[in-house]
Amino acid sequence: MGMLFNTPATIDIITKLNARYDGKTARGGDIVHHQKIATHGGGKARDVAAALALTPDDAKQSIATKPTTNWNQWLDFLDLHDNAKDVGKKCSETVGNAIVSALTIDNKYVIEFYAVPDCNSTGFISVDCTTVNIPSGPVLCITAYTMTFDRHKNQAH
Amino acid sequence: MVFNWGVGLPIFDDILPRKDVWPETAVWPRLRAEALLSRFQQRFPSIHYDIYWETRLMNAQAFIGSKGRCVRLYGGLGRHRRLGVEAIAFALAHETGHHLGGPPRHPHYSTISSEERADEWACETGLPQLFGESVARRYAERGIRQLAAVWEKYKQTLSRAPDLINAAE
Repeated sequence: MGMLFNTPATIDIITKLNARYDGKTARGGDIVHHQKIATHGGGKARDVAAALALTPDDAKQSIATKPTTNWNQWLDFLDLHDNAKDVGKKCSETVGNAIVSALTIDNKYVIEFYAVPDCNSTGFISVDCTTVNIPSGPVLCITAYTMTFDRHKNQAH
Repeated sequence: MVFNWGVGLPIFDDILPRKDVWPETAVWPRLRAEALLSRFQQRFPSIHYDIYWETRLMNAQAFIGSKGRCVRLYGGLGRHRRLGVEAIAFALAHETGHHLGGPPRHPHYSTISSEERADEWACETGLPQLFGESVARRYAERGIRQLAAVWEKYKQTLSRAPDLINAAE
């Protein structure tokens, strides 16, 4: 995450996401799942996440809230919101397309996920995809810029 | 609609109560944060620095986006009433260290350095380059102590602080 402070739920889901696409294990089989959300209306992000076991483990969390509930709500936003950084697509379509593309090009492509709290003048949530080259090879970084709870609440009132 | 967003992956965590932070409109904390970021930006031009001031998220972050390698300071950290310039400087140096620290890499990200390496880089390289050896040592000592006072996790870093600071000499 690159955060100064991280909670158990954050570490849990980031570990699962980045471990699944760390390039050490072929994940070509995931393409069929991600293709469902790569085309708008083809599937729900929360269903794909569940099918691939990319959900937080509530039982291990010490916080009062249910991380899985919040995670699923956030995934729903990916389905609902237009991506200002990828005109004509929902945020989940951008994510699905990027993952499918990376896995299609190279079955062991490394994909890393960043979630960035943002004031989001362009909307509630937006996503961009950047490929960076490091000594071990190219890495696809999928970065989601998300309006935070306090700002969202302020705007709603 | 009200959702439980917060720090980190912004779905799970809490934000600071209003009483713990200076108001958004407070001039001095903003000037302090902007001066620090400007100094970091000039010294490390390959990194894109910015502020999300209005939020009460107590955090800072290294990430990769369309602008490349980025460091972002959040308002809950920049406006925290119990954190001084030392803590903010150390936090920014730590996040910069994620990008410039090199190996060992983060266990979950091959694109950034580990937490320990980011701390080392902040003390050995980042803060000294920005402020000189003497001020850097003071900022590291006090910054780590201030962060540990407001966040449990930083007590681990506090326990390693003598080694970190000695390594920087």
